[in-house]
Amino acid sequence: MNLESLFKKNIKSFFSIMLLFCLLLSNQSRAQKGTTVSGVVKDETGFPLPGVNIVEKGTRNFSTTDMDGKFKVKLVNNDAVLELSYIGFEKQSVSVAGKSVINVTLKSNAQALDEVKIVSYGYGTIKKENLTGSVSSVTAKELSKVAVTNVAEALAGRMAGVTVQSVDGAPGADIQIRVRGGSSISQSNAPLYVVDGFIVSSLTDIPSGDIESIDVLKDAATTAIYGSQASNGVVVVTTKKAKAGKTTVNYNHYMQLNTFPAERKYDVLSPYEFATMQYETTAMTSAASLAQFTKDYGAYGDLELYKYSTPIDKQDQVFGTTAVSQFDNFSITGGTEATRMMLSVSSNRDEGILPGSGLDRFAVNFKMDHDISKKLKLHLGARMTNKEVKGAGTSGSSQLRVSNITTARPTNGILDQIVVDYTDPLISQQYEDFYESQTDALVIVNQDYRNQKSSDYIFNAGIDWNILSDLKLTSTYSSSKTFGESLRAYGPKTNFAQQLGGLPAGVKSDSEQTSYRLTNILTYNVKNLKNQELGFLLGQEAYSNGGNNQTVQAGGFRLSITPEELFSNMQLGDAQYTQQSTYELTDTNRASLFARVNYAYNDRYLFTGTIRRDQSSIFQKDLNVGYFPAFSLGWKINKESFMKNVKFVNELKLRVSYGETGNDKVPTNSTSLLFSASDSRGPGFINDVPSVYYTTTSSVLFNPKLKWETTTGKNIGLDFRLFNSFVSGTVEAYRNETKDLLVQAQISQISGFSSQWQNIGTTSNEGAELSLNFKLLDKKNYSLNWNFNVGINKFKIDNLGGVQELFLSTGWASTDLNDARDYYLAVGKSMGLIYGYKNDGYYKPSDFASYTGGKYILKAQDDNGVPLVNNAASLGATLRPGMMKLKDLNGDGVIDVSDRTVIGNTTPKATGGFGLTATVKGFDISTFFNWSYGNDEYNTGKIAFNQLWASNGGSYLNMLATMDSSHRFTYIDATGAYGTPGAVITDLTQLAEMNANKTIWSGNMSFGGRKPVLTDYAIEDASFLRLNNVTIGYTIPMKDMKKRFLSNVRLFVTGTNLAIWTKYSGYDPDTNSSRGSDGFQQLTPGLDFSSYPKNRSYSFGLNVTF
Amino acid sequence: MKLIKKLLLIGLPFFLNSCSDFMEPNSLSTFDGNYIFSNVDDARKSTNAIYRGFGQDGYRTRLSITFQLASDIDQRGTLGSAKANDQVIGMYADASNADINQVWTTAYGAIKDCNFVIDGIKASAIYNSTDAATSAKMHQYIGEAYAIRAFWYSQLVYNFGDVPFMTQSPLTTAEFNLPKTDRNVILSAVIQDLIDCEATMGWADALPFGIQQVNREYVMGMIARISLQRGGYYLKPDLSTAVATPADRVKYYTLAKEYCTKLTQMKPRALPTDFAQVFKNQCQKIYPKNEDMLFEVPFAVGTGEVGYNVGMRINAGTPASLPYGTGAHDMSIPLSYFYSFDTKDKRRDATCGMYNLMNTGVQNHVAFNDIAQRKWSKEYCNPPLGNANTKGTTINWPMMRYSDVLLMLAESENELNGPTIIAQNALKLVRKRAFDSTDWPAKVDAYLATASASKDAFFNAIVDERAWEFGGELLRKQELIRWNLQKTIMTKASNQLKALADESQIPNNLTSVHPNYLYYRLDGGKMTVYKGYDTNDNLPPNYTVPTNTTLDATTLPLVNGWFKISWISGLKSSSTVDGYNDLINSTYSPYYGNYVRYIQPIPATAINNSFGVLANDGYGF
Repeated sequence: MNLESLFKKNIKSFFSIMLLFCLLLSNQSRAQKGTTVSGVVKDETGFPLPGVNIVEKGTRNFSTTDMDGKFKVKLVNNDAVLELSYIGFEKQSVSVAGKSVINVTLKSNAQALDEVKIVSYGYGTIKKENLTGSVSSVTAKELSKVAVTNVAEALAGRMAGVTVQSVDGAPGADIQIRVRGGSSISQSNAPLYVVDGFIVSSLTDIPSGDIESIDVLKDAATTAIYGSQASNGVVVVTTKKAKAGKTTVNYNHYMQLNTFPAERKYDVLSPYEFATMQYETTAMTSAASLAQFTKDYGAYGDLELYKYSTPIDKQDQVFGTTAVSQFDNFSITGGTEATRMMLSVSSNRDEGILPGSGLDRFAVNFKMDHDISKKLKLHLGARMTNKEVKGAGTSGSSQLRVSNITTARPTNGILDQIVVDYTDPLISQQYEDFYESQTDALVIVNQDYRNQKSSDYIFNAGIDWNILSDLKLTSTYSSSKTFGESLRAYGPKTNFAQQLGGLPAGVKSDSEQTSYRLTNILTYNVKNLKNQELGFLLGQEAYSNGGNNQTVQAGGFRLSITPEELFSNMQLGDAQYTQQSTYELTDTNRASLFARVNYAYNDRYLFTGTIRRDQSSIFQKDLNVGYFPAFSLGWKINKESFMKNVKFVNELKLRVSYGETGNDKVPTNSTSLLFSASDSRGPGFINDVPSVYYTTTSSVLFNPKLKWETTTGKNIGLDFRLFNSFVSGTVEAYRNETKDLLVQAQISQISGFSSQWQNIGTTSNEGAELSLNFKLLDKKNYSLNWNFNVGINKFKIDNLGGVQELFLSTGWASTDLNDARDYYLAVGKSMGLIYGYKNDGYYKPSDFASYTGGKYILKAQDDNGVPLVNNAASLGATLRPGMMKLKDLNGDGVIDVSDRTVIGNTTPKATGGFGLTATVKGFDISTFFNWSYGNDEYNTGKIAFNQLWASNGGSYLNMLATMDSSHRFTYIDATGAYGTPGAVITDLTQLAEMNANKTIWSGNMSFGGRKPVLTDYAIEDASFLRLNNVTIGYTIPMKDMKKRFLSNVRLFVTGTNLAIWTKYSGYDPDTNSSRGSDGFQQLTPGLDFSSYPKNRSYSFGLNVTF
Repeated sequence: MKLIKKLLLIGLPFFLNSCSDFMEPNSLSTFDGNYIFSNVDDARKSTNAIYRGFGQDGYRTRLSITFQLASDIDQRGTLGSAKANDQVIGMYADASNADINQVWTTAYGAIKDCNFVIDGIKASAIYNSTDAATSAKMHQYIGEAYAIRAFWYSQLVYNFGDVPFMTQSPLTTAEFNLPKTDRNVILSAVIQDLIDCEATMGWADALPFGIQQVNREYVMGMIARISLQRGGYYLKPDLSTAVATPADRVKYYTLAKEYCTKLTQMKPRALPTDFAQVFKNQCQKIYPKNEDMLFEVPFAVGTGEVGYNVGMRINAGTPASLPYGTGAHDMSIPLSYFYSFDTKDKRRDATCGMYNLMNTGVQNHVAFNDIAQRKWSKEYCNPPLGNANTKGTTINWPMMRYSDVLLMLAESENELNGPTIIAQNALKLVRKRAFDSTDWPAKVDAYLATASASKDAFFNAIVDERAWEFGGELLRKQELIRWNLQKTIMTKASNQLKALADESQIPNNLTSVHPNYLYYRLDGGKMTVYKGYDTNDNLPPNYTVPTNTTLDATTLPLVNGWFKISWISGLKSSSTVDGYNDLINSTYSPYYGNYVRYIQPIPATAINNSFGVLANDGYGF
């Protein structure tokens, strides 16, 4: 809904607000002696306009219209010219020329309201039409349509060239924004986040309701003003401003129901399929295990019973609950012309679908502006956030794995069928053993308590000093303090507690981060240049960031202790397990100078040039200065005389830019050899307590020669608005090249280090972006908008500093994977390549010559003359028909690590989004889709859940329905067709007959218990189209606002993640989880390891304005 | 203009300020390399870092266990798999093997820690302080670093042959991408380091952490041990077997003898009579000085695998009712070794663990192929480690014992001068402890008389004695390497096992002393084997073989209170081609070839990261 339609609908209330607004201003009117002019101001429909500003040109004499549109002005000069201005209408000048009554009709300017967008482009704002760089923006209006806790989620697919990826669906999970792909191959490619001028580490602490606009600066010319740190783009967030006028109160609320998308659930083997699979496994393993199976599940002939047992649905037990989240936001704006304020208070209480998980956030944002005098203005702001993330999730370092859920046994066998005689110790013991042999997923959740609290306090104060009418100094000082508390308690079943005596243990880490920033900016706009505009900006900035942290670890608590009790009484732990440390971080400081010049000629030719000099404390003295120049040109083609007759073009602007940005994103102390104290794995000289020792501050070797990494970016873009604004959009192409990459370069381990910070290598990004907006319908009561964007980015490694290729390990299978190095980097290639074996179906019975002496003898060639190679060793199991077959890529007759190759690429070919927004009278509807095309996902579940991998946890593991006996190669004579029912068949002809139509290998018999094997089978096309959200809102019509307390009420319903179309078989194709690390893995994207499913949520809310 | 001046005044302080401290921030939690060696207290803490490598997996499970397997006295049955540790043990690992990479990284990481200490102390003003106490401490610390660096190089040489020899801290001036150095050069150098620092080191009884820190005794022992390595046999990159030149052999055996003698003369001691207690001490946190143990790895809370990967099997089970936690072992003791002991040798019982402790507190007899290392058990720990304990046992691991020094003395003396009285007396001291004094005439005196018949006979006695003395301590593989006996001894062990297997097949073999089956009874959870292990006349009275019951180890038929399990009969198999249990071939087949390539490949990452300096260009890779 745009302002215009709001205006039309609630016209009177609108006017009354405007009037009040103007009355506040009018106390400053100082009419002088002279002629009095009066009149009425109306709009095109003849409706009188209250609150119109009327200024006598060249003076400070002004007035406003009253409720009936009437005004009176005492003129200073008799040949005066009156200037009338009113929001939403075109400015008009009227010459008094001796008249005493002047009636004016103002022309509405819907277009101006809609299209004059102001963009934050670094230390200032600019009209979008004058922008010469590449910036994508999202406004509060669009953000308000999505009910999300993390605003980054709302950005997914909204802006061309901006991708949003999340680790997984857990509350508070790390979400990364990528602008045009990112350049680094070993470090975070996160953009710089600037909130109200202050650099923050992520957007998670900012409630979407507080945001006025988000501008993503994409090309180097625009980001160069930020200099260092800006090489991966800049996300500029502007929170809502303090406004003068009548006090306005807004209240927004929604309640959200979060559910597990049922259609994303894994299909697992039914109780009967599970029982027969386990029978097959045990019968083929040993007599002893078969005997145990028979005890636990019954004899083969009785397994039929499981056809009638109801499966235990673990996924439903763990993720099945509907979690309820709530959001409340309360904001007040108002004030006098001289003093304006804004206060916004937001509260989120999110529950995750996994029991015990959730996120609570409480945020306060306060702004006050005060005009001390005409020349001096004061700005104050405070932003406070308290956040608490609960629960450990399922990926990263958590104890619970999705495998504990998907491969849990679907039936408890005989023990579910009989009444257990607990008085018999033998039976009771068997019962105990059986249950204890597989730990229930919900029990594991309780073993792993995690709670992360953080409190952020950001204060800023600034003054604007209009030294001369064209010279302004802005000084801003901001400081921030973040207190973090991370609590993690380990139950006795966790490995951590087991190393500390097997009793509950806990680790409490506190951190405090302090930073400040001081900026002085001088702006000078040269006046009276006729058809030219010229502006200068000169700035200076100092930034410092530091902090400290402390950790306490204790163990040996009583079994019954609760995590809350534990952390309130850590002294109750056993002294020998208590460890503590404190650490003061080295500050990171930067001092910068920057300048910008804007020049426009004839409103046709635009030029912007910037230069920034950054000095960073990270580098050594002689290398710490970097210069980052940039320039951009714009040509408003539609203003040219030859375009005068091309009526369908409303706007056409060509932009070209070039810029350099820098990067100093290495940890402090990377350039000097320093030691700090640690006791991790120190010698237990006294009472087995680890002794403290001095060790280098980093496990990455220092390098005093480090220097700035630089990115050179070129951008060409075309902005257009055609057919009377029916279609508008931007098309852009770019090429970024990054050299002297700051890389954790692998070095010879004989140095004692595996890596060292070095400036090596070159990478490049090339891409194109298109965004389009169609105003399909723009009527009084109806409107329909369609927007669309697509971005293509190609990342290439041009140089790896001497080596041609590098291998990386995700370690998702710990050390079980045959060759743990499952990702690959190579010169000339992109990032995120997966490296593994090629699957070649399975060994057919006809591939074997005979079964003799308990062994299957493989033929030299199969029936088609293709050589057969035995890959049993790689799979860790006995060679037999039905075993998974790997391709002998190098044809040397052996399957080994040299038969691996690139089997997947996790980089999307293109990403984008599209959406529709519509209004029908009081209703507003918006839908938004986002998509990704051409990327693969490494689905570890497809490996782990389709075989009996011991690390899945416990005995009698289940598999996915892919391994159903109708698909899977089987060895059991199910019906007794060849003799005894339940017999293991070894005869090749019979095996061939039984398995004539089978499509997949035997998951249970192909692999050793600890032998997951990465083949292209586990690599899936993860292209997707997601119906990200649908919102339907209804604004209750308020006829006579003056008499009502409420001025605007809107009710809405939003559905998020409503549908996803993908070939991907895991919970969600858009995950980047890992094992061991909870954050986003830069080098191994597209790994789905035990990812927490993404919620489907339904929100019900209301927006109220008083 | 006035205005501009004003502005400059506002802005200038920031720029000026930015030039000094602002661009060189410091933290109170970081220290430079000079400070941390500037006083003895901080230098001690800096030196502690050199022990950190022992706490890493690369040492705990990899180097100290996996890389020391297998030999005639410890075996691992399941070779042939693709598991990283099996590849190492079976000597078929390739360069991508994760365990090899871990050992390589941990070793050079620990060497780097030592280099920091050595360079730091050398540069420190107080190294040669006029204050004697200060100087002594600094010399002690630098000596610890030399010794641990020598330990890691000795291990690298055994496992990788020629390796890069890094002796500098990784400062900017250091070249840290070095080619391989000849193993003899490396070993000679580290021996010289030890000789240089030995005299200024403190004895265990004068050091705060006693036998838990590197002390003068250990350094002396290490001079001997590495000298024997230097003077012994090794595999050359061209796969030929080499031995030190005659001159070098004499030189290094003399060195070994010299330092063993020096220790026995400067710090003579009686071996404690209770052999088993030497290792129980490690479980019970007892660290006696001037006894058998010279130095042991001081594992801290959360580290250490002894009792979990080496030791007695304890089934924590569910519910975990015992306070000990889980115990297991990555390797077992072969029957041939068990039966190589003299039946009166007390070390057999102390070394070979014959039961598994079930979670019910009941002892179960081990299977014939699963004899444990009884020297360590979580059962001995006091206080117990808790029922959930798995890894991280804190039980220390022996690095050098006095009996080792005695046997090295006997060996070097014999090599140089034959079985002289010096050699005999040293061996005698070790043997005496193994037997009751009533058995000394036969088992010590008479035995030695025979063993001293010739240099060769005495050498063979040393080979045997070391096996019996150090069972489970995982020193054997490297001794066999330096003696060039790997193939011979392993073949012998395999033949002994086969002989035992064959013996089980002779019906009513009255000459046999090895039982086909064992019968044992439980009394209050404690196991008693009927007539023990050394007679085949071991069928308990009233034990009638039940018909219709398969007699094998898994079903444990209980007849009249007696359990029956397979013993040497288990070494036979009906499903293998040669009729022997697959374990025998699996364990010993790597040793049947023309040469034994015990050298592991240099890890792929090390080669990649060396930019062409390193390659797996020798040892048949």
